[in-house]
Amino acid sequence: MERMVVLANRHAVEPLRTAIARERALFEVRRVGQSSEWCHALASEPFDWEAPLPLTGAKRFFFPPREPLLSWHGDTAEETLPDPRPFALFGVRPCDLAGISYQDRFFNGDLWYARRRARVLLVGINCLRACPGGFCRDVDAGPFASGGFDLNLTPLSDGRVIVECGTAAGHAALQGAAIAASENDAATTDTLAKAAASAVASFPDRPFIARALARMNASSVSGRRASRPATRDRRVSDAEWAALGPSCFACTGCTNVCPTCSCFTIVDETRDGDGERVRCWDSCLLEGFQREASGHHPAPRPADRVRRFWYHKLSSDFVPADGRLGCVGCGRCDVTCPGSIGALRVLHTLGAA
Amino acid sequence: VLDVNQITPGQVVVLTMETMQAIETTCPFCAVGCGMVLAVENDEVRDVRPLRDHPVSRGQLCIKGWNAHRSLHHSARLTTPLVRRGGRLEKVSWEIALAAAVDALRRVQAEGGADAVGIISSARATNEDNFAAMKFARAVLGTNNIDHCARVCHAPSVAGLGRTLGSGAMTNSIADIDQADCLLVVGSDTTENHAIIGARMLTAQARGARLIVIDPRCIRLTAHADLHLQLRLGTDIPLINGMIHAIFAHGWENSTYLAERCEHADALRAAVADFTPERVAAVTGVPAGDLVRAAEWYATTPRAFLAYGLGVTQHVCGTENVIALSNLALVTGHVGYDGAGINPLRGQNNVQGACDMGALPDVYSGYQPVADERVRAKFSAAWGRTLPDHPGLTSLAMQRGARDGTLRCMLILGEDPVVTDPAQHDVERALQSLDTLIVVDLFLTDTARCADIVLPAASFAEKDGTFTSTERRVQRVRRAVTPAGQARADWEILEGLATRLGRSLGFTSAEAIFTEVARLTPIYAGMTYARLESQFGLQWPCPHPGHPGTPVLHRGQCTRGRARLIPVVDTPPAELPDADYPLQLTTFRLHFQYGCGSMTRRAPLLERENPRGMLWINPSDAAAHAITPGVAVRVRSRRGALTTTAVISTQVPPGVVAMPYHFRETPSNLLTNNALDPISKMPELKVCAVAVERC
Repeated sequence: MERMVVLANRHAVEPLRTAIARERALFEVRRVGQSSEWCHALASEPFDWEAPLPLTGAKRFFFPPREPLLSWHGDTAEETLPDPRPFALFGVRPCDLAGISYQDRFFNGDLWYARRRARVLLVGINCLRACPGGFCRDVDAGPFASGGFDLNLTPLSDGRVIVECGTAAGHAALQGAAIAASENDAATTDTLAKAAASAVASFPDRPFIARALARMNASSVSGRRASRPATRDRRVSDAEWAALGPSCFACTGCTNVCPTCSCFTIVDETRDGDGERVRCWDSCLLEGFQREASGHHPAPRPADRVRRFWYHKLSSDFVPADGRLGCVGCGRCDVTCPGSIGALRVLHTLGAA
Repeated sequence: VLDVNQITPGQVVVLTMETMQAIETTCPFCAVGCGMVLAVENDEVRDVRPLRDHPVSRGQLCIKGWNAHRSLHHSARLTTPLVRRGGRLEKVSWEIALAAAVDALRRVQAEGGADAVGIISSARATNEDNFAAMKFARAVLGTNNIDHCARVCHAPSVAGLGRTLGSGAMTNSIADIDQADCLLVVGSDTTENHAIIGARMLTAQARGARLIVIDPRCIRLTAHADLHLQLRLGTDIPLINGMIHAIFAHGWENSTYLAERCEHADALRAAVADFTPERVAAVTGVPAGDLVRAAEWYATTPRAFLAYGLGVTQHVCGTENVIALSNLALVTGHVGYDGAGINPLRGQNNVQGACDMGALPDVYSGYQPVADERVRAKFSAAWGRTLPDHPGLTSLAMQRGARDGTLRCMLILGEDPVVTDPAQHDVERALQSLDTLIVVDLFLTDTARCADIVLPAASFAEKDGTFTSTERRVQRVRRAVTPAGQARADWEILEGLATRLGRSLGFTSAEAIFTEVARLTPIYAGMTYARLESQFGLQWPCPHPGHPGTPVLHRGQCTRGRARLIPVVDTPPAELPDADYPLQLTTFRLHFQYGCGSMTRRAPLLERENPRGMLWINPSDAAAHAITPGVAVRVRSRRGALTTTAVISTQVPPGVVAMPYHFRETPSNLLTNNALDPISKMPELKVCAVAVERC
């Protein structure tokens, strides 16, 4: 039921925000100094179309850093499910929409995630040009979203805004603002396609990304492809991973900011006989993440863990299960990694050879 | 896919994201001073995020920072005052606890004089807390007996660089690493202990700057280094003198700089004449060729950044080690310029600030000497009381005084000397000898367990204030949540004691304290909270309200005028291996832990990484003692013995074993030596003799 509406100018989006804010808590990316954060926003303040991608993404709204699972008081224990007021994330970039869709698959059936996810209205916003450090185009996650939204905005260079409607909830939100969406017409579809092509063309040429991804897949565990001499030579060697290993400080920054990372640990927080069992973010780059009780470790060296992490992010082996590549090209890990081995840097290292 | 109608709700907890607040603050671990945001909900810190705009951390944090909130709401937090009754610590009201503390202070001072009490302030607390502690000691108790853990980290830097340059802090800024052509890192496991600085060093190396590491251990930096000088423990002075010898021998010195900005160059030249590369190689184990190459690289690059850590300072010759490095930096003219300098990497989040605030026995805030009559008159006038004129006791001297019976009462704020000071049995005996021990802390540390009165402190997220980072950057810390239970900021506790002693400190807020700091401290004079907040802090000296702060010290001329070259000669470690104790023990810090571990060990992810203290031993020594990976080993020194687990690793050279000091179950400080550097009173934590055997 793809539907679209073209708004005459950016200001015409304001009634939509106002209508949404009547029903839901409204969250938007707001500039804080030179960077930005997801903030609880007031509809009375105009939408910031130019706010840069925040370092921390949208995943915390559904998979928060700390999620109580159950609590106990003396001898009785109770499940604790979150009950957030309906909310809207207004202005989710395509990379984050791809991350949310990815996590929807991983957390399918998880009550805590589902509770939060069901309460949200996702309003995406397409990127008209590449952001610094972003490479969503090269991993098929942007700069225009192909789905995963309730509504999606495309601010055109002439000032008009195309609003795509992806779900019934999106449609209802438009109706609430008395905005009538119509069936897709050829002209609007064409305008959207042209804007997308222009956005795609704005990305710097980074041929190393395709080369690196090809090499990651040449080192597939399936072995079948890797047995061919041509691909065996292209495989990422142990020596290359060993060279990257010491640059991992095990800070967990990459896994914390990554829109698709979903590893967690369970911690019991107790006080005087009462307590909570809490799900907290974990990281596969920590040595303790996979250390077995015997002391044996399947990935004992930092290089082993760095390889595993990037294998999960960059290999197509996981696409059948995860629905897409594990990396959405947002570039956040490149910002937060003290060791300078974020995604783009790793792709550059592997693809330059 | 998602069908909420299928969910059977249990106990529902309302966690609406819109109730979340974000509070900007400064990381409480290590002195890099990274910016962070605390996400607060329902008066609890849920989460930490890096601050992308921060000029030092730029959107990065190490894993300690990412976990900075984990200990804040821990069930082990002290929430009420405790007083020992019948051998047990019992919960009491603030009124009773403060009255007991005041009684003890009065009684001890009445019997033993003003100097019968001593205060250990906290490098983890704010500048405001430290200023209040130093004012409390001097203006209320009338003693200069105040010190803190800088004594066991960078007291030799304060003493050494104070003598040679006139200021004991980092001469340059962290960002100067980006401009350096050569990085000389001495006795600092930078990537593990100052991760964000270490990362910047690796980035500099990757873009082409030469990285030279001087360290007896193989560390992460040495894996990337262009040159690793793996010297024998305690041979820093011959090594550095050897480099200076090579510099003079090849004409690599900066003679213009020596002539225009330094004094006693001839004396230094004569003093290093004997330190030929061959002789130095025999003493230090560093090949003569490597030594000369390091000297050439360091001396002949335009911008050379020298950084050092506790591997330099924690020796009986700690001050002389610092002076040797200062000589090296001055001979080559690498002080007073961008991308250069001599840079002690301070350890704890606010150890620079605790020193700046005068939580030291011989200086008031801003390093203004107690012995200077005019300075004393200024502070006496400001505080309305004649202040004591003789310098007080250092931390280890306080412990000795306690064992001798001359020091009768100690007030320890946010430190755990039982775990972190050398020769643990001596420390415990000192604390047990006291008439009264008062401890202020977040947790019931091993030191607090020895106390008669324990007072619960507010954490970094529960109070306003400032921390001063290693690059002299004064930054805001903000109250994000209500203090745990009845906990109070250290300065509030001190104000409570002062008022009950009849001499109020006159402090009603952290900002009011900072205003007094600025008024009495020339290097902070131009700072206000408003200015600090507008630009992620200011670097001292900042002498007037329009001053932009000082990223690089000693431009044009040194703080003391001409820089002083002071010849130093080798001093071997106080304890060398022998037949009974054939191995050398050195101590180090782990990336995942901080100090005594009272905060980091309560963070589940951090504790999981290194769940136990361990002994690192070289494969050859392990084989000689039939030690296999993971077996229990007994480690003995002349001061104590403990059992721990072996890690067999070439990170340590043959003849050397290494232990981290964070773990109370296996305290390396049972073994360490408390022999002191005569100048700075720094104990020799970095080297002692031990015997190791398989259990």
